[in-house]
Amino acid sequence: MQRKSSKPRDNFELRSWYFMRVSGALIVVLAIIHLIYVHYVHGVDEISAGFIAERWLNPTWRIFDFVLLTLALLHGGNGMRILVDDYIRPKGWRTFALTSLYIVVFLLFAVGGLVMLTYQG
Amino acid sequence: MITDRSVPIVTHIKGAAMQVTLRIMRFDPEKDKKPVMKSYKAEVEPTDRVLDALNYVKWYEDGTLAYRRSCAHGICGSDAVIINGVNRLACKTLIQDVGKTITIEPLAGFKVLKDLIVDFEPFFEQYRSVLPYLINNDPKPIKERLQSPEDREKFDDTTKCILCASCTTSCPIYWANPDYVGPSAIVNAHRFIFDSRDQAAAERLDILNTRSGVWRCRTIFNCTEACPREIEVTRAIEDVKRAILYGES
Repeated sequence: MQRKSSKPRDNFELRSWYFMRVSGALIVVLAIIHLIYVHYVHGVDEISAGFIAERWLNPTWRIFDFVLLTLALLHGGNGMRILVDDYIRPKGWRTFALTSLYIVVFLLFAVGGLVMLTYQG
Repeated sequence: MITDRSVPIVTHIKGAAMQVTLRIMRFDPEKDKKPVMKSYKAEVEPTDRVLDALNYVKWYEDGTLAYRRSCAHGICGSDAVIINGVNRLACKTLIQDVGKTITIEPLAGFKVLKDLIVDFEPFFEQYRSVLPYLINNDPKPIKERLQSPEDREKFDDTTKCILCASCTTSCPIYWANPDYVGPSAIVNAHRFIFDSRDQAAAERLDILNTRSGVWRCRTIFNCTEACPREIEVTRAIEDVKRAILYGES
């Protein structure tokens, strides 16, 4: 008979670890599609606000870009959280670094998400 | 020739086959502010161990040199040091394998007490935190607790740990973050988590399923390379991650 654990499991770090694996794999696929489309099919010379506006007429591209933005920010932000935990040991500096990180991630997400979801062409 | 009979009889007497230079990181907490590198010459055979060279320095060159050693045969895990940048046991490393200039430093990530002696207490504290002993609340059997060879095989590799701390002190995460439980503690938790006779796997998995537990591991593999017992440390850590993820043990 297995002894049961005494307290309910806190699975946040497990979920965070699992999310990094799944999101990492997805980001590789999405980033490759993005690179092929923007740099190979079209080329950087064509990239302008007009190019993006035209692309966003298609809702699929909006969803694609929104998913890529969300995954990249969460994956990168969570990676930075783990690095800060490891490498910034003084508690005050760690709190400062984590707070700054969360603010930057939130602002980037808010600005990027707002533009993608409300852009009217 | 040894003239002082109080000196232990050793195999590598003066006039041996070759001379090597030992660069040893010295630190005396009563005198030094920082560790300093000092060079010594030692006469050894190519088939001698680095521990023999250290003994040579201590017995013939500088008696103040401090280092740990006990069994001198790779079992007690006392003499893990950094030899030419790699964590190794001084008693298992042959001179012929490390060249004529040998740099020896104390293990990284621990406080240096003196010369090559480091404070192991945080390491043993992490070790104790994973309950590294058999927990079984069933009534004691009359004879031994039986186990099939297949069940024994599951944790065979991790029974080999000698607690030398080579793995833990080779881990860059442990260098930066002393809260991390470290590869060695996970290996010793693995030894009981996958033991069919033990009943506290869930408790150990809970201990390791935390901020300072297995999730800090970045699969760098330094620990596996450092292990003088050739334990597949990273695999053991991954086994524990998988057990937490899929709820198996």
